[in-house]
Amino acid sequence: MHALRVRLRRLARLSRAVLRNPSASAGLVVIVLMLLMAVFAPLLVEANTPDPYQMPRDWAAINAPPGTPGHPLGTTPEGGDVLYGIVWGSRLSVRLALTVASITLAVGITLGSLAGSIGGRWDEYIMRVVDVFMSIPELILALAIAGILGPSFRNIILALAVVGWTQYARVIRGEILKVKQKEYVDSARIIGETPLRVYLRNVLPNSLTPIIVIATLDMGKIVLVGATLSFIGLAETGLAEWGNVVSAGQQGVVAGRWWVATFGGAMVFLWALAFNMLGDGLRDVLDPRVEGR
Amino acid sequence: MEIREYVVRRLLKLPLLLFLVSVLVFGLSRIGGSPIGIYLEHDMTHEQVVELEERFGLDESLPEQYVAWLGGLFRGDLGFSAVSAAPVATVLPEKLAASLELSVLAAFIAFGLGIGLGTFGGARRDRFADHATRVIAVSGASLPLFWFALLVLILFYLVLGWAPLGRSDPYLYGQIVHPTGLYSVDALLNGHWPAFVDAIRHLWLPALVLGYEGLATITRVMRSSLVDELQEDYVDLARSKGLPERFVIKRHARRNALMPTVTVMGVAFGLLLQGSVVVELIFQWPGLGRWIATAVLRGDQATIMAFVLVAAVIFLLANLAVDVAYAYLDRRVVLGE
Repeated sequence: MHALRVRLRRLARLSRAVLRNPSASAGLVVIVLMLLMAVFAPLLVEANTPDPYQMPRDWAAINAPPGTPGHPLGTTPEGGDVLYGIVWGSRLSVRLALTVASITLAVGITLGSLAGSIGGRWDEYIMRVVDVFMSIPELILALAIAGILGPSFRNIILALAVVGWTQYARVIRGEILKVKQKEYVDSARIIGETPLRVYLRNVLPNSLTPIIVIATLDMGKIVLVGATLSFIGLAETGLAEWGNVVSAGQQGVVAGRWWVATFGGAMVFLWALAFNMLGDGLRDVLDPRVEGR
Repeated sequence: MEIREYVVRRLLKLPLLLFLVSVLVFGLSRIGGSPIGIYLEHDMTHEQVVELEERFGLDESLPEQYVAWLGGLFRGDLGFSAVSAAPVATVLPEKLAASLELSVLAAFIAFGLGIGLGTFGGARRDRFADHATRVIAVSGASLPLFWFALLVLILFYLVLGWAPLGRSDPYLYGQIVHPTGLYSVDALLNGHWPAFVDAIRHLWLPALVLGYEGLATITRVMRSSLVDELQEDYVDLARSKGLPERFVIKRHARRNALMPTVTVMGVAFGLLLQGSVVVELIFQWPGLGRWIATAVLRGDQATIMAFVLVAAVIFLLANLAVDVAYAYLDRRVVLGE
């Protein structure tokens, strides 16, 4: 009970420090706005039927410039409403980031813990697998997986989940090797705690700090890479997703229709920027050594 | 441990990694649909399909299929690229040359300009020039490359009309012989000045965009490590000796600040490799990146597998080179672990 109260107090102190950091709080504001847009999407723009994640097509107004009545941000060459793609695209971005982050975190922490705690042959095997995944640039491996599975948003999520766990496994393993040396871990072991209990109560909670920063930065990167894959064309046609909106506008750019690509990409940029600012702020707060850079 | 021994040990580990990568790539091709799917036509007879299956060894076990595929790789048989309607091994060299030309210039921009800009900003900490370089450094990590490329295209192609799309003027391209496949180099070898100008005119903008992410990464690390170095005692000593500030930065601080910068160069190489997909797609550059982008949309497994293999080999060698360079620069590093 006491331990819980100490942890809560530490959390409160940390959040105050984060809020005092100007770039972190600016990032946080943007993130909250994006989340609100995702939650209240049906109130902002009426849902398309039957599939709300397909942009509604207005064939009477294709390639309409911004400011057209009914299409404040213009339309794509198929008459898809750009504003609709942006608002409902926030939902798909939230889904993408949360799904991929939770899968990669779970897999990465489990495998990294196994490698760091058990060590020996398992460590060797797991780290060789990590090495192999890291021998191929992330986007290229994800591109290949999504390409072989076939174009769909679900396969983009799957591809990013398969590729993204290695960084967590590596960092957790390194942290656990460090924490294992600490005296409090020895004392827990000496008073007869089981290895699993020592791991869950003493080792893991004290190894998670760098993971918080990496996961925050990763939330931005996942959407960035996911949008890149759907820009290349690996999502369903007409999907209300930011990268896909840019993809729909790509051909038009050369003909002077700048708006589709510009608005769609700006959302990806804002999203990534917000999480990078929050992540950098968190790093300053959690790791005072690099403060002030 | 001697540097030579370290390099040899890293080189010995390379075949194991390459073998594991080849297993991963082969595994990839078997998670999707059948590898012959892309060659099937509606009017094929049953016998033709069976013949295709036999040619791909689909009636054998997976390890046997892997060995057959690997044997093919060593004989230079990378399979048949459906999107190019030609054997992968035939198409690969010219695509590789086109991508290489673009990436080499982009690498010069990323590394050369990045070190320069980082030094420039770090030496003027918290002044206007520093803030300006930090905008580049910070935006690089958040800017979606595909969006940045399109914005640049709007500005330089649409508004200013300074940069053409594609790689060359077909007429000028046909005027010269191509011994290396690098258009700008070939033009120089031919002594054909208009072709060289044409090559550079097509090359500079996509190279700048491709180099941007790496440039941002290098600038950021270079700047912050220079700022750290400038607070060290040896810098104070050099200054108190009366050395001019430019000399202090160039001969003393920058040298040490380069160490952390070298470590992120491997990352920058990865950014160049993966960035080429999007940049070549947008600037219609006929290289590996655009090839793979078309291949993934059609599920063309032979092309995808070849590309991933080539990318892995380049990336592994680049990282090896970076590690060796680091070890060479910093003799304090305890090599091996």
